[in-house]
Amino acid sequence: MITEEHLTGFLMMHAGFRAEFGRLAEACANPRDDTHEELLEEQLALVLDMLHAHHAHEDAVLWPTLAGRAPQAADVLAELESEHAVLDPLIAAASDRGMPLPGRAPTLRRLHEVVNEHLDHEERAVVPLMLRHLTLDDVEADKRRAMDDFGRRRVPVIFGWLASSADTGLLAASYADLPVVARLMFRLFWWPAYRRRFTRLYGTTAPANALLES
Amino acid sequence: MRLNVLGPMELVVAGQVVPAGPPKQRALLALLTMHADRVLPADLLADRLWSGNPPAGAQGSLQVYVSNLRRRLEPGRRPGATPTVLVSAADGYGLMTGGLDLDTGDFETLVAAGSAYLAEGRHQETAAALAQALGLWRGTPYADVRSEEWAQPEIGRLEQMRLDTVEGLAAALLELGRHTDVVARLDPFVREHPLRERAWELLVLAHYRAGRQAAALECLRRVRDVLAGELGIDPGPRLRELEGAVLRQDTTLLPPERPAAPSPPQRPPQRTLTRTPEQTTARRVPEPAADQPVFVGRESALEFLDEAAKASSAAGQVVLVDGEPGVGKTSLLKRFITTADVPVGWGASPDHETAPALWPWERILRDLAAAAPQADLPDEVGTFLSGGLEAIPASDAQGARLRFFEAVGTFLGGVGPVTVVLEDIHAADDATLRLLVHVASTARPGLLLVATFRRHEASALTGTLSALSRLGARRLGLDGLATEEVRALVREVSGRDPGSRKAEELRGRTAGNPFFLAELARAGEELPQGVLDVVLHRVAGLGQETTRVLELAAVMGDEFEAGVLAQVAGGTVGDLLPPLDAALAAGLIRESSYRLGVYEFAHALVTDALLSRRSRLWRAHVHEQVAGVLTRVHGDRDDRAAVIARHWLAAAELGAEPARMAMDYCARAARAALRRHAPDDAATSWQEALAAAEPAGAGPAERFELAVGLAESRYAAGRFDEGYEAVEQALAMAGADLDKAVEAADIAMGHGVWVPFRYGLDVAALREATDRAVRELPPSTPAWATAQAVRAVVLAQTGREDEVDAVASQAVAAAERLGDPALLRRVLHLRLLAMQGQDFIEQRAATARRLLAEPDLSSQLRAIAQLHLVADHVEHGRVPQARALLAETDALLRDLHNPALALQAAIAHVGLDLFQGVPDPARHYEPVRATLSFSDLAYFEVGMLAVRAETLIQEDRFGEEAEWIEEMFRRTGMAGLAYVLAYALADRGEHERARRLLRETPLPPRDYHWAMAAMCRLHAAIRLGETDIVREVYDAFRPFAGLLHVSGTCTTIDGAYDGHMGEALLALGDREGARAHLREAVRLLEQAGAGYWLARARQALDKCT
Repeated sequence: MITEEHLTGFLMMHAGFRAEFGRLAEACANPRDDTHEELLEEQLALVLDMLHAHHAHEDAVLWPTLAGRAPQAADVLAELESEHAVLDPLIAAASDRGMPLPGRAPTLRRLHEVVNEHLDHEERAVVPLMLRHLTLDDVEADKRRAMDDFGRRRVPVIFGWLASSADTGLLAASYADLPVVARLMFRLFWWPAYRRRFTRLYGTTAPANALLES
Repeated sequence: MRLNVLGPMELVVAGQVVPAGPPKQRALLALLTMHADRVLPADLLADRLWSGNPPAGAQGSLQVYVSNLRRRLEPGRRPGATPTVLVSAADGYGLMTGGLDLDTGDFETLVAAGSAYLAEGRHQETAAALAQALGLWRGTPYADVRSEEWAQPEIGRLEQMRLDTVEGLAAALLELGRHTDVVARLDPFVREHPLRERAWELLVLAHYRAGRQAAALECLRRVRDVLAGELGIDPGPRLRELEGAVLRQDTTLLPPERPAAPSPPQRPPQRTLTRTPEQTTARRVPEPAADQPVFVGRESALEFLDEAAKASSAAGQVVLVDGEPGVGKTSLLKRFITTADVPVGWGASPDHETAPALWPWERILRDLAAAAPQADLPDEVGTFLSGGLEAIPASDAQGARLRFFEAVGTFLGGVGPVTVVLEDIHAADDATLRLLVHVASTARPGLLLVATFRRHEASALTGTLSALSRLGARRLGLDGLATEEVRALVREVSGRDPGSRKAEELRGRTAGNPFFLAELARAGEELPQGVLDVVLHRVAGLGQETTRVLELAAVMGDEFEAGVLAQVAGGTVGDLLPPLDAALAAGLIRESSYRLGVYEFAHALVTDALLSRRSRLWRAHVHEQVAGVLTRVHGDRDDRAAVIARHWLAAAELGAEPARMAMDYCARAARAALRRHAPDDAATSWQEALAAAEPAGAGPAERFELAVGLAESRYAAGRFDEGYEAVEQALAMAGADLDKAVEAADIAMGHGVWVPFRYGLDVAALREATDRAVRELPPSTPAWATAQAVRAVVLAQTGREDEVDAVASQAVAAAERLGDPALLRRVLHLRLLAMQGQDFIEQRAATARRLLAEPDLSSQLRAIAQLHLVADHVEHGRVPQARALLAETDALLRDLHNPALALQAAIAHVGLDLFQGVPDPARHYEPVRATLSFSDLAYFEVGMLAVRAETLIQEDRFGEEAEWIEEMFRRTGMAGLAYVLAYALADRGEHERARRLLRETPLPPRDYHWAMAAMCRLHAAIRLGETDIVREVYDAFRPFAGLLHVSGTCTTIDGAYDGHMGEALLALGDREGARAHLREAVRLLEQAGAGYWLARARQALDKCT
């Protein structure tokens, strides 16, 4: 039996997806210059890569596991999987570099809305199932998989992005769960660097966080 | 006439094999041949032929046989003529070889020659001779009589010679590095002749040198068993010694330095890399391993690569191959290079764990240095391959890197047509990616560069990929296999045809991923879920011990050393062999073709699967064990520091002790990365060291060293803003230790033409530290002199220009008193950095000249001093002298390759071209642009900005660009831009806002940007009729009468001060005064060869009459 705390990583990713497409939609409508455009492209590619990894993992591992343990949930899981398919064309349009960024801003706006609806649905329908049917081993394997998906080069930015998106409680739980070196790397280097990146991306200051700026 | 007996007897006449007759007749010939050139008595012959029991008519039969043989051996002999081959003498017969070629004779001659060559160390010739000798054998010698007792001694002698010859050939091949060849020859040989210890010895060496330590040990185990079982004895001393040496990984096992061909004289002498194991196994093409994954389909991808290879002969080609993990990127390229008829360099970034910076390139360069020994190996590449420089001075970090990058490009160009494969660049270190872009940007005809990455990790590569696509790189996306290909693959792996419906179903399930499919096919049954589960299922099938060993190995990374793994697993290498063999046979791991005793997982997905079930705590403990063993075994090796650090870091949460080890090894890894031209990667390692310092409980003194390291690496990487943050951290940790504080403060000064502070940087920490140092340190110490010199720079930065000269002079005087030339050069450099702006024109030039007169001046400082003198020449209107000195500086920079200084020189060229009206000034940026670091790019942006602004002035188009100027002003807050904006707004009729901007924005401090700002203020004021301000700037400019208006080191040259003052007086209605200034301006600008500003001064002069 697991508790909500064990799903911190999963919910952190959701928080990241919920926030970032909206931010990107706004900034991409009017990039300052080439450098800004390049940075936005990079951020967008990163978040889309992560969305792909998240959904791929759900479709290949998480949903089949849950369906195996809770056969009555098969329908709702199939529904969620089909929502992934609805998102695909939007994701494809958002990553089409043939179209200049400002031209993709409306797609990103739409993606922001659809992703949030999808995540609402997922959290309503699946989180209770996960709490009931996943084991600690499953959770541990998921976390490891997520770290592999992040990759060494991207970890600093991904951590920053998630921290800039999560609410205080979720962030505190997730931070406490990190190995000590990662926690320190994050506080000493990754978060300050991400705050600068956030400003360069969105022209405003990243949400302050008492936990990380003490 | 030729007689072959090394096999069934063959009599060859005129190139035709002729039958030698019935068995007894053939036996007679064999008998005579064995005793060639000697006469054997007839009764002895009969005795042998009839096995000691000749019948009555034996002698008659013998004569018939002799006569038949004579007809065959001498077909041209006239009847009655005396036979010369099969001769009769006294009571017997003899075979004379004078007129007969015997293959045994040829064999013995070749063997003798081969042995002589071997003794002389001429291995190539040895191998040729012995291979030819063995080629004569067609089976058992004298096969026709092999069961006759009398034949045994000769057959035995020949057989013995053959065995010796096989071993001799193997020895020569081993020396030639042809390990596969040796193994291929000796493996069946020792099975047939298991007691030949020499052969076992050579086989062991061949396995070992090919990097298959486990196979070597396995051979030793087999020979021990055989000898004990058959003879009841132990292996001889040589084999026992060999066994010990293999276990110790003794370097004597490696081949001695071996110039296979006489080494070309142009090869630099310090090239010691022939001693490294990598070198000995490097080859023209990576050997297609026996366990090569099954390969189907991909015709169009191979065609794409073939075409790229063809196109590369006209212009270098870059191909980017992307796809999901397991889709077959590696298999495709392995298949491709087997058909490539050019040298191949192959390097991969490890997906799990880590490797030293530039590791993939190191492998590529080693491959190619071995495959193309004729290619000239530039010094920088040779040094890199033999362990890198001892230390690279911070001032030369970027230059040294670019020189190395250029050298790699030159080397690749010299190899001729070549294919370079860089695998898994999504996991690459920063330096590897930079070198990739550099090589792509300088690719010469003949180079085909192929890089692979995982499709959904491409966001780690956005910058690299866009740089490569700008350079014309082409993308080759690999998707899943089609149904028929799935069917073929499954058929090949499992030996069963799944049929097309089943294949379609499998394709749906695996998305046609060949790795997934092969694993499924090998697993041989229906399994649920994903690829990792299938892999785990297969692992479980190998038994508990194998699973345990593989899980431990997976923690070690994509590659693991058997020796280290044995210690982690708590046993001997011998214990590991059965589980490793099982895993090898299952295709889950393979022996590394690069390193001794190293295995690698067949695919990163196998590692993923093995690690997927284990808890974080379990992994941390195994990491700790691995780290402990690696530290014992390789703890003193720089090239392993990064790997060891990675394991300690993963164990750091277990306590202070592993955390401290992590801290130490991260610091070592950082230093090693700096020596490998990877300052960005070094910075990451320093950060990790600082993070580990907390749980390690390290004190401030230790942390200070780490923060200083971080600061230096960031400056070396050209990341000045982040470098300054690290300097602040170091200052905080230095605390009351003022020597340390000064050391940290000095780092913040950088090594360039300008102080590396962004506009408006808050340098309070630096000011406090150096103020205190100057107050409290004895003035007779070097630290005091440095502190004072840094203080001068800080004063200039904080608007206290009036104190700069005196403070900087004190620093110089202190350094002179100490008689320390290096210190003196540094404080003179800092004095140059401090004396920014118009108020120091003369002092700056004097300091630059003083610096140039110093002995042992580095090329960097010489270039810096010369760039300041270029600006000084221009200020005084001596443009031709400035151009000449700039050309001299260019020559200096061509050898130095310092990108930051090259940029400053380019900026000066652009400024001069704009000033003199030379078209297309921005062309000077082309050669430098690609080489710039992060912060250089900021300077570059400023340079481009200046070009645009100057162009707008010259074209009088500020009004059209008000939005752009406003945005620039908002971002930088530079006062000069406020005035430019006022100018632009005035143009557009927005007078009120323009006036407000002008009145509310005070002039900046008299720093590098003051002159430009004041000039813009003046012209905006003239437009707006703000006479007070016009007068104010006129007064401010008066001290500079007679000079040209120069910003920076010629970033812009805006005419002559007199021109601006003339326009000011015109606006104030003083035509007389204006005329005097403008005449002077016209004179100066004519002399300087000015374009726009001369015309403008003439126009203004016309208005004065």
